[in-house]
Amino acid sequence: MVFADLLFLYVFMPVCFAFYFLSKKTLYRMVFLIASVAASIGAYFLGTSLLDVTPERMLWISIVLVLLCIAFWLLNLFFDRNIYRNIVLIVFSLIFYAWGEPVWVFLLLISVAVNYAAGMLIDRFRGKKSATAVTAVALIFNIGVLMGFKYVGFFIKNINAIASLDLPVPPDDLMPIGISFFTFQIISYIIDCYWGKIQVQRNPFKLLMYISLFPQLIAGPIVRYSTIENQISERTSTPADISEGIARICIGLGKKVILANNLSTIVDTLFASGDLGALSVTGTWYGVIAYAMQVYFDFSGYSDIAIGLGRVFGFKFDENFRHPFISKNITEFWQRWHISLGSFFRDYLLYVPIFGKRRQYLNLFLVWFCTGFWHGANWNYIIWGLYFGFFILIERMIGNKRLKKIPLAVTHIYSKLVIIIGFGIFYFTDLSKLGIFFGNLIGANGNPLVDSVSLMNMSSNCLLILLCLICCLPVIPWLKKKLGELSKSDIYVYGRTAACIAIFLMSSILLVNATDNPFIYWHF
Amino acid sequence: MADYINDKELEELNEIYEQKRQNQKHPKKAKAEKAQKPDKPQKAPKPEKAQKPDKSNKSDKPEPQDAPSDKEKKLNRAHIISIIVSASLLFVTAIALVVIPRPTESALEKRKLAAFPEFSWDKYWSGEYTEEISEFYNDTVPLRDSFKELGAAFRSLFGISFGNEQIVGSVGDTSIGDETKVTTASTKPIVIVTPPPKDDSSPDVSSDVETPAPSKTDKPDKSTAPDETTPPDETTAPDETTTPAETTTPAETTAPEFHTPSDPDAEVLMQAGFNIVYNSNGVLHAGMLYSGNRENAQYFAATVDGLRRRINADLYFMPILTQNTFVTPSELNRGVYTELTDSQYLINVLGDRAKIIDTYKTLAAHADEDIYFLRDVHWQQLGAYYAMSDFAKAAGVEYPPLDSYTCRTRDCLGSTYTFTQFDALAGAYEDFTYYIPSNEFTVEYYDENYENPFEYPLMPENDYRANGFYSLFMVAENYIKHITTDADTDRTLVILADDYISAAVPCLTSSFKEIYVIDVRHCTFNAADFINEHGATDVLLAMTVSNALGDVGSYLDYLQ
Repeated sequence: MVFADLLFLYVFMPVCFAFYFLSKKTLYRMVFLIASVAASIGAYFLGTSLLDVTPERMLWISIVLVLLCIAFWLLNLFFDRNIYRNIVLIVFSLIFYAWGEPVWVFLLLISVAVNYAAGMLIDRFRGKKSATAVTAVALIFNIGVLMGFKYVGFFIKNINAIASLDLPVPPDDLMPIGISFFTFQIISYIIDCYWGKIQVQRNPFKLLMYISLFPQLIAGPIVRYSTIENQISERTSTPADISEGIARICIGLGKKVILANNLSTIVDTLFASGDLGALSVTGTWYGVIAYAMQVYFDFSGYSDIAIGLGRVFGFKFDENFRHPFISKNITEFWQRWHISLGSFFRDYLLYVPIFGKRRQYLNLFLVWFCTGFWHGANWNYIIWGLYFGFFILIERMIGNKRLKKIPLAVTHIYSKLVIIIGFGIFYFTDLSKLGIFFGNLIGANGNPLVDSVSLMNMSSNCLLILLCLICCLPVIPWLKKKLGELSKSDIYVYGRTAACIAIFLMSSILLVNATDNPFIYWHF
Repeated sequence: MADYINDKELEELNEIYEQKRQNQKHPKKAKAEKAQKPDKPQKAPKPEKAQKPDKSNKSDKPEPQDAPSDKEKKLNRAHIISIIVSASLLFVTAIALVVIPRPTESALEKRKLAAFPEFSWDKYWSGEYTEEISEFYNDTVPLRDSFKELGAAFRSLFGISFGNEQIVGSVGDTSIGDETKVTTASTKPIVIVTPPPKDDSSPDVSSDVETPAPSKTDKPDKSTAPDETTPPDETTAPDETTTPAETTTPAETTAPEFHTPSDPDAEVLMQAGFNIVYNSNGVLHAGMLYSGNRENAQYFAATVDGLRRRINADLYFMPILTQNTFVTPSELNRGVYTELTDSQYLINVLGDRAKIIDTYKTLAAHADEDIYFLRDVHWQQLGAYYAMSDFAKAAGVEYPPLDSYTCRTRDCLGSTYTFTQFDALAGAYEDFTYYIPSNEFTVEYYDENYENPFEYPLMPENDYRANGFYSLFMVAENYIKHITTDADTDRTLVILADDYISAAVPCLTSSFKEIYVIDVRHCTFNAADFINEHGATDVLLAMTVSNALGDVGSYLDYLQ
């Protein structure tokens, strides 16, 4: 299941909210129970009359619904509020994950069980060599699972190509959704346990909730255990939290559905459906700029929804994007782009002296190799990572002070060029097409300066592009600054609510019949 | 305890006690004071901002504490109202989406919508079941067609709009920059004289070398246009084994006064993928740009050859030419090659693997008639009738004159509206003229497995819908049709085709005793065996060049 989907927005989310915020007051609980049972019975009649589901099957579905409602009601009755809410989140997170690929739920559960045991053992043997051994085993297990599902095919393909072999290549669709994200969360938990930065989680269900928490399960952000350690056990959602969380969900949805999805149409028209070699210089630049913005709005939109959902449930996730396109250099860009991934590699790879004193450069190389490789089992992703690593290395060698002396216009042009070309590398998984793309950028393929299709496309999407460019800028912080005290007033909240409802409704309308709507980072 | 307390400490304790006592009397005031001066009571912060309200409100109550509290209350109330409004909207919509009956088919898209899936454990564990539920939920939203129109209207705001017409660019702009791919490609003269290629590279070389792209200044004048009007049969492969197409293409057809359509002032209003909406000569047009990939020609030819070897019937291939060749201005062509050049290329590559029915010359002779729709990707039945005359001649079967049919005209709404949702197309109806054959015949419809037959009219006029007009031809493409006619012949025809052929089938009811129509995209059995088992004497393979050189062509391979 994905966030930009009507079934998620109008079935999963409201039902989850309803169970989560089920009041402890007896009267409300009774009303809720009666309403739930009535709804379950109503579902029987709806299912049989409108959906053409056989009465026998619908009867079973209704019975399951009734039992589910009673189960939640009992849980709410007997358990402490936070325990109840954690159970709700676990159940809905597993349903969310199982909706897409039911089989892989077991992998997730096994992974949690193994790492729970590892965490307990690390704590038990703290300070001893055994703790290091357990950590190593846990890391090998986690990385092994990731490698097994995500990279084996890539390695076999390369071995086949180099050694002229014909080893069977596993299918690409064998990879569990979001494996890169939840594996990294587990790794951060294990390493932080080993380093003593966090206390080991003794309750396996709380660890399961942390790993499986559906807002960030399949496409991040990579939420560190230390970030929400306290919130797992005790958290509250104030009206401000819920209101701002809802606003964030609407903004994220708008970014994905209104901006990113329509930008993808432009990109597909120029890069996917046509003859790439015939595309003009202008068309190529236009396409890759549109793609850069598409990835940004797609991924940051998902992060916004994740952060917003977390906020509604009382979690405070760290930001994952901070207007990356206003960066003056590449170092700054990576401090603003996919922050949770950048900080993960920084803390767990860059600052670990794997290569001794020469770590500065070799670690940097390793970090950017891993950053690229993490995004996908393909050479273009590795090139993409090393490409950025190269520019960061150059910037390090120049030094911050000297960089600051360079005129702003120059640094902005430099950073935008590097970033945009970088997204071209990111897009073309086929290296031969990547070569054509590079040639197109400078007209080396004999392609014209402009072509009619690109011009048409630009004209028919000029306002969309303008809107996207504006949205790449820190408009909301700027607006808040301009409004001053007004931005902290009730009028601002009312205005924001109206705007967000409009965005939500328009996004919903655009999602009608849009069944194939995955996020770009879904499979990373 | 007193031993441990000196006078100073006692004084402090008294002070604390006194303060507590005061707090109990005035808890609000004390709370505010605590907030104001927690650390250093002697240096109370200057309540500069808080003093301002004092001027307007001369109450005894300490206003500096009340003002922010009031503001906080308002803010909190605003948050709660925001939650209530948002949650109400969400829950009401969620309930409405469950309660309101869901549509089962779309009038706009002319198709049955996704159905609620049947449960099975296999489907569940593969994720297919949940995926189909999502598809059902998203596809059958109540009022979906209205919402889609609204979505299209919203998307139309992305371009610059003047009045009711969306001006988003002019094809005349193609003169900017180098004239290479777009304009010159379509003006390539069709002079392909190579025999069927023996390797993969030769066709490209031949066509590229022998069809040099003329510069813009070289573009022939419409009055003369010697190259563009070169009849394609002059360009076909002069193979030693003369293809039936060459022998049967009616020589009496006069050389068409036809030129590659051109309109430098054509104005593109909207483009989404290969779907395009444009104004040409003041008329709103819509269609789908040509998208064939000639790299697939060898594969297609090999597939056709495989089919030919497996069947005991004469195999004909008809590359169907669409509005791309006869209507769409060449300036809009997206690729290097055009539909016409690729059709000739494909014919050359096929060589004698099938009897070629090249309809270019015939259709070009009637290009000034309404043989294509203006805003639909298909051809009018008139175009199909002319094209089928070539096939009838090649097959040597009877072909009744046009005046033997009952002709009717109705309004129709082109399918391009469905694909583009472009507002201007919503009410842009045009004439749909169809011809009902006069002889007697019955039609049986079968499912994709050639099972569950039922009888239904060939052209069910009672079911006519303007926005689903093409369904007038044999209901839907996914059915396999078996037509039994009163034609005075014992020949049986099997047609393997895409949906273009639907308009042409009624023209053949007097030509064959039995006709089977199979859309290759909706067939699950071995077509070659089917052809042999049903005693077919003739097999017509007919599809657009885009489809033959695209995915549809590959279905043939699958069907064998």
